[in-house]
Amino acid sequence: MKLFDAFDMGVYNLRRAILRTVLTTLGVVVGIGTLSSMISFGVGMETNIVDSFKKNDLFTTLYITEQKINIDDAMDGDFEAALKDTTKNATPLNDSVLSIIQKIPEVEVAFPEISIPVKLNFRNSNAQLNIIALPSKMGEFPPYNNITYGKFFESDNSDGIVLSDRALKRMKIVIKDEKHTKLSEEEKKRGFVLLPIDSVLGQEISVYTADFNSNLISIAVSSFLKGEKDSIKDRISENAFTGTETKFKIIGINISENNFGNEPMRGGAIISSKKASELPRLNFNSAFDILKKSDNRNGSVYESFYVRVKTPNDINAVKTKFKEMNLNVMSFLDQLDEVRQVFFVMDSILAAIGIISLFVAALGIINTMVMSILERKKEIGIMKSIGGSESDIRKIYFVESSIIGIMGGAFGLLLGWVVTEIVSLIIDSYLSKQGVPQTELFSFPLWLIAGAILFSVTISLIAGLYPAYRAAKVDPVVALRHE
Amino acid sequence: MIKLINAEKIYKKKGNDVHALKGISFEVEEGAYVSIVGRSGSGKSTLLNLIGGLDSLTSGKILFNGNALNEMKKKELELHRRFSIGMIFQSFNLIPFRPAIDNVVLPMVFAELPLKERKKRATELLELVGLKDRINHIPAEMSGGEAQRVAIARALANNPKVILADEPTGNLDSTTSEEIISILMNLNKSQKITILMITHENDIARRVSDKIITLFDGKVINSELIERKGDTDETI
Repeated sequence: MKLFDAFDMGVYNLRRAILRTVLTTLGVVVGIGTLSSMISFGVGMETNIVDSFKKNDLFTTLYITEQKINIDDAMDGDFEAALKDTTKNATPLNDSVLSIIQKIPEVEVAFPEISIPVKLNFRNSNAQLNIIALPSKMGEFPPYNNITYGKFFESDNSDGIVLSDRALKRMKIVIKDEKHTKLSEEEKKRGFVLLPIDSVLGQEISVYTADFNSNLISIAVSSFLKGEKDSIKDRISENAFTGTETKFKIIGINISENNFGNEPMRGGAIISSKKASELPRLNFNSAFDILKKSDNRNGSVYESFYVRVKTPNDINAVKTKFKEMNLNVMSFLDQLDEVRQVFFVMDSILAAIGIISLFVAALGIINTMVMSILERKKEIGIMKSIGGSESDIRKIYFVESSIIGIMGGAFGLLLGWVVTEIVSLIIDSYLSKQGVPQTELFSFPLWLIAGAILFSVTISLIAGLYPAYRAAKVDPVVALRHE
Repeated sequence: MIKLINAEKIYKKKGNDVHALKGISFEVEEGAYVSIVGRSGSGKSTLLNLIGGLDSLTSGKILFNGNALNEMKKKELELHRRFSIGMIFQSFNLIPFRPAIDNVVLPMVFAELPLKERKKRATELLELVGLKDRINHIPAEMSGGEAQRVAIARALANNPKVILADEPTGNLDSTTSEEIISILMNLNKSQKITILMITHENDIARRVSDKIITLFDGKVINSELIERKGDTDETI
């Protein structure tokens, strides 16, 4: 029997019991719908993160620290234990080491990571955040070569500042664009203002940095020598710090595409490295920094270095060189592997839920097919008596199962897509009220579409194995006697 | 053409084996019209099923054109059913939801004949049995006689050498029975198709057959050569 004939007969048989066929297919539809929507969520989340890595050019990025820090202990607040692994003879992070790193042929750019806690003031609105300092060379690479409005610094002497939309939001400012033509109710309630880009770009912004009140140092020293401990405490608590205002010009604004999207990973504002070194400021951000500085290490000037290699393929070679230099190196590529492992586990759990519902659907197919054998026993007997072979009978049943599988797969995908669209709509509508950019939570790549249909057909064929075998083994003599 | 040598069939049942055929031997010449008569339960249908390759012998031999059916592999038996024989049943055994033409086409589907050829041949066969106007009718819309004619057309689909007819007139009135018998006789006469027919009607058997084999309790109790009296001139 030719496949076309088996298909013709299969379709005919399924149409003959249309209600049963529809109900059985519906089982597969629900199974595939569940499976595909679950996997599409996992895929969507992973895609968002990987895209974010790509957009931020993190596959060529390395971070160098002096030595390993035990993150678990640090997270627990046990800073001493966190630093226990720090070896005394570790290579210090200073300018001479930086210079060696910069000379490595595969290294595109390397600079010390500097993050400064500041207060921004623009249009009488304040925001406290960390500014990061970058060399102008970074303007050649993503995401800084493609910022939404304006441009990155063209020289290291620039007094420009690049702000993220997150930084602006902290100052209760929303840039008017295609996506934001008006403020949301939530934003209105919180006193946000909607400004055209021209009202922000090119304007001056005040950056306040904190420093020790140097006058207090001599008082503190003299009080200490005189043994007036209470006097030190009182005076320092009053005016220990001074604030210094520095004016910057807003030269660029970067609007993130979505929650995972195109924005610098840390900090809401960027200034040039050279300008940052001129800012009067404290040389620590947190208690952790103070503890590390008090650890009497071997002359490190910087906490960490940012290194960008020329291509992702250079990462491993450069990493090896750094390890040989007794430096601790961390790449996002390693982190991505960990992220992928996490997503693999998550996808597997989600897929397992989908597979359970598909398993139930497979039982439905077996039930339908076995019922159909009982009903069509005589028909099978007739077919055998007029020359139908066992393989012909099997073929007909397999075609019927696979038609259920194909239909179930196709409509299941459609169901999965519709469900994810509805869920996306609900989440987006909620997030937009919160002023959070829209995010594609679900993804249906081609492999998922093809895979879901293939999986559905495979499951249906497996489910059809036993019924097809049983149908082929029907004894024509018994079947024809069966009235 | 067909030779049975000590053919025996035992149906194994729990604690009670049924000895359906007890060492039957006879021969059917090519182009012969042989009737098998006997009471219910005498083993007539079992005999036809064995010759048709639907069932297998317990012992003995059935030779079809010199080939032993009991030595054939499953695939060879399928080809035997597909190309060498055509079967007609008392209850017609048509696919109930399919029109006459589809029922006739079905054996050709298994034979993998080209689509156009199937339709053409099925139409010709239905014309041959006088059902030109009933091509697209389903069995439920036909009389018993018409349904049996469809079954005959179906049996002829792959040009078989032998037709095995299991009480083809058992469910029909006398007039319709005559029509069916007449068709079978003409096929036997004009196309030299060998016919093995089970019947309860002795007068029909005597009128149309070259040989009558009488079975009783699984044994041949009489094998009688007949001089045909009832050759019909009717054309089909």
